[in-house]
Amino acid sequence: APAKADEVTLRAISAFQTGTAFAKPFDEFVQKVNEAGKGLVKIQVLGGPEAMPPFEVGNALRGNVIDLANTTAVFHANLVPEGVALTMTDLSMAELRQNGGYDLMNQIHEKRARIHWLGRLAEKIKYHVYLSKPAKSDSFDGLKLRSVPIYQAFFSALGANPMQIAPGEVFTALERGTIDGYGWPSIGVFDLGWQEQTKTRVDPGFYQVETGVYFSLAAWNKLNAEQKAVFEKAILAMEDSSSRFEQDADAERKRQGEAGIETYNLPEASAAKFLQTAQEAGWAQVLKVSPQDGAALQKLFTK
Amino acid sequence: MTWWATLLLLGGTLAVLFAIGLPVAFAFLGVNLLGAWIFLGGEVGLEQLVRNAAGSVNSFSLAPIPLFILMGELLFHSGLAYRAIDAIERLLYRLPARLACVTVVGGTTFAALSGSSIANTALLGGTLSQEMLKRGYSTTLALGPAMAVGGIAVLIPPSALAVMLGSLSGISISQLLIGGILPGMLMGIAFLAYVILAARFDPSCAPNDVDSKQLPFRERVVPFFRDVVPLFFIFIAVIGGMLAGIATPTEAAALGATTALLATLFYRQLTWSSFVKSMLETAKVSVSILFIIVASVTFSQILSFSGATNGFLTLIQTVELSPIALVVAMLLILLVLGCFIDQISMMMITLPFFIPLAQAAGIDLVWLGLMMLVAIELGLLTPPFGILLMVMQGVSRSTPLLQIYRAALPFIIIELLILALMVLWPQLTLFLPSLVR
Amino acid sequence: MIQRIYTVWGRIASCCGLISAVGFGLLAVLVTLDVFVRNLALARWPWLNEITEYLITISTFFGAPWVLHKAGHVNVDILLRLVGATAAQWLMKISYIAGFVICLLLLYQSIRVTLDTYEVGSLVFKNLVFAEWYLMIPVVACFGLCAIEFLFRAAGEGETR
Ligand code: NA
Ligand code: NA
Repeated sequence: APAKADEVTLRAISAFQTGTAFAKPFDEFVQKVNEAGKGLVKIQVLGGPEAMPPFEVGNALRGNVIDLANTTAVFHANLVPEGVALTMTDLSMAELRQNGGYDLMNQIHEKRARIHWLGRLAEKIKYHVYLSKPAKSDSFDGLKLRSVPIYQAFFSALGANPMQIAPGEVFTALERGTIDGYGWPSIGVFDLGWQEQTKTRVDPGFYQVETGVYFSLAAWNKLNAEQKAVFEKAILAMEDSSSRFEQDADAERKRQGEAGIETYNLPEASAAKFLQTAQEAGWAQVLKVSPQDGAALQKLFTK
Repeated sequence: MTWWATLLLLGGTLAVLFAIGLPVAFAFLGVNLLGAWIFLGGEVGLEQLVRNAAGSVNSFSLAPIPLFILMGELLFHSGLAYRAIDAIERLLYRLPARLACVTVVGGTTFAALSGSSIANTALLGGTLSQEMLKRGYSTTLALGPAMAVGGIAVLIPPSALAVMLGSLSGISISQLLIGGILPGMLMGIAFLAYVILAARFDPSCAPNDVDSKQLPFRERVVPFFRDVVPLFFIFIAVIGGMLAGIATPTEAAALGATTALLATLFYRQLTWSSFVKSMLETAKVSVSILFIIVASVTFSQILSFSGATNGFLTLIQTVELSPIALVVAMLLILLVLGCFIDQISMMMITLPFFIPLAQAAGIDLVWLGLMMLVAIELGLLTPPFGILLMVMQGVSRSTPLLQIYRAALPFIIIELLILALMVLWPQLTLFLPSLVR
Repeated sequence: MIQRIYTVWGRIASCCGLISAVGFGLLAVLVTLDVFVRNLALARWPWLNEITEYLITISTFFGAPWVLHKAGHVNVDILLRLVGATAAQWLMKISYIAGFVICLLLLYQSIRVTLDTYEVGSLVFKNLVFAEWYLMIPVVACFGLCAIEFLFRAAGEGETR
């Protein structure tokens, strides 16, 4: 059926490859919006990383080349370095919306990058250290771990040797012992086939994966109240049902176990130190580039 | 704009810019300006284009290209490689088209290691191929193998592209790696057989150096041990570094370049001027390749963004096809996309379409994955825009492009035949994986 | 006169080539060094990988004008070989003008992006933190210098092959 004349079509990009763990919540969001928004708004997903490089999604939003995106603040940390606080927070979205943390983060985004942060998609999914061999001790000293900038400082602080390796080379690097392990979310290991070379998952997990819906501020401001409400309702519904990510993570833990990946629990004292090191190393990064906003965020984003 | 109108407009403009002789990279950039203006939204689109281009080669995974080229340039400008070539000529004097055979075997090894057919073609095409041309080999035997061996390398482990395909699709990586062995070896044998038979039936296309026949046994064998040994050290540094877990495949390329430098010093073959020449030639060849990548990767992004690639892909969903017809259609799509799009983008774009379709039709994913690998590699080799053809043109400037196309042709046909065999006889790919499943 | 300017221009282009070659050389040295340092556990240099990536970008963009100066970029010569010599020369001239226009547009846009990036103050936020607009310098230089080279060629200077 032809769209009504006042239906607005918004162009979206996903920073995550179609079909992978972090593309799926966005598919659901798009479906919700397109159903509830019939005659008002419609999201047209143009593509994934093959259409826009993930690290350019932030710029594309800022310039209004696209209207909205499924991405993570980590990818536009060049524009909004404070955004990585979303990965470090131990508060839920409900708490952040209540204590003003959401508002502050959105203001920083709008001010710095002309990006409107609608809300969060992935929540309560922890990162873990995975090892290619059974864990020998609770020490990470000297381990060569594949890492990405978001937790590189943390791995260094643990005494490990963080390495940057393209995803396509991780499998071979694990197989040959070039690296001893890698950091990755609790879900998604199977997407990349790395389970074949993984023996151990270290618990506890640290940080939490953040993906969310981000708007070009220009596109957002063009919407009327009724249209905005469709998006806000949809994202709140997604955030309210975020406990299913914990179920996903549990299911994934079982699946990893069946694939021969054993869980190694750090002893209580070292676990506490592990998590504390993660927080300190992570926030130090933010505070270094953003002393004022960073400190304000830290107050609202940590327990 | 409909997807085919988009394809026609961008493809047509590209063809015109190619035809008037504008360098390929600048032709792509010109079409990118047009595409960005139309589909990315005017001025802001052009800005985004520049940003995407600026970041396009900021990737460690491209490092093997300059590193392997550096290795080759050092070996050749120092003269070390010629000594090795002479030694091989003396030892294998009975084998027709020896150097072309060396290219097939050596090239497969290096393409396998570097995971980059582009680096491999540049390395061999600028060195061994040029030497063969000098010795009077036909362009087909001199240039063809250097372009085509990537097809073998992508099948026989270690294959970076197979690992990438597994990572992007969820197909078991080890099954893909094992499954590639038989068809890969078959392709290697077919290449060798073609090269040897071509030289046997038409000796003029691979002239034999008569002198070596009269040499005594000692003078045939000693140079081999003296002059080929340094190459083995480089080989060990690259392969050993990787197998021993000292270096990632990308880093192994750097070990190769460093070992090559040490070898030239050890054999006292390196002069300051040959060193400088090696460095400048490395830069020249690497830049001409990397700059094409800057432009063509950005082009494929714009093509995806415009919806043209998706529109093209949905063709396959509109008709009900039998499983075998579906497989053939998928492979044909890859061959066409190969004209415009780089390997990784090709996988990222097609897999989300292909995997669900294949699953619904009950097609074995390992089988499909391996055939996709061959088709993707073929895309790099098929005219008009096959990046390997362009790379060969870059390192073999005096050869007309049409002759380069012609040189690739027999090998394209062999690869197509192997691909057809894989389609018709799934056991060829699935037998080995079934043993370990 | 124009020839003398072109000679000076050639030296500038050679400098670009030197930058590019040194960049690739450093790439080989640094990656090898990284492998040794890591495996012998001498030090931890997690930032080294980032530097190598920047080196590839710098070498590529600075090298491109020099390679253009040396007529080293790949082009499709099928039509040029089919038509007569005069026609081929005309086609080449048109291609130089097209190249000039393309590079000029890209130069203009990359300057805009650089200024914009400078004004926003965006940062490369990895192990090494620095102003993002630095990364645009090679791009601006590349398209600016390529535009000049195409202009010289359109005016009849420079080697063809
Ligand atoms: Na291989
Ligand atoms: Na092609």
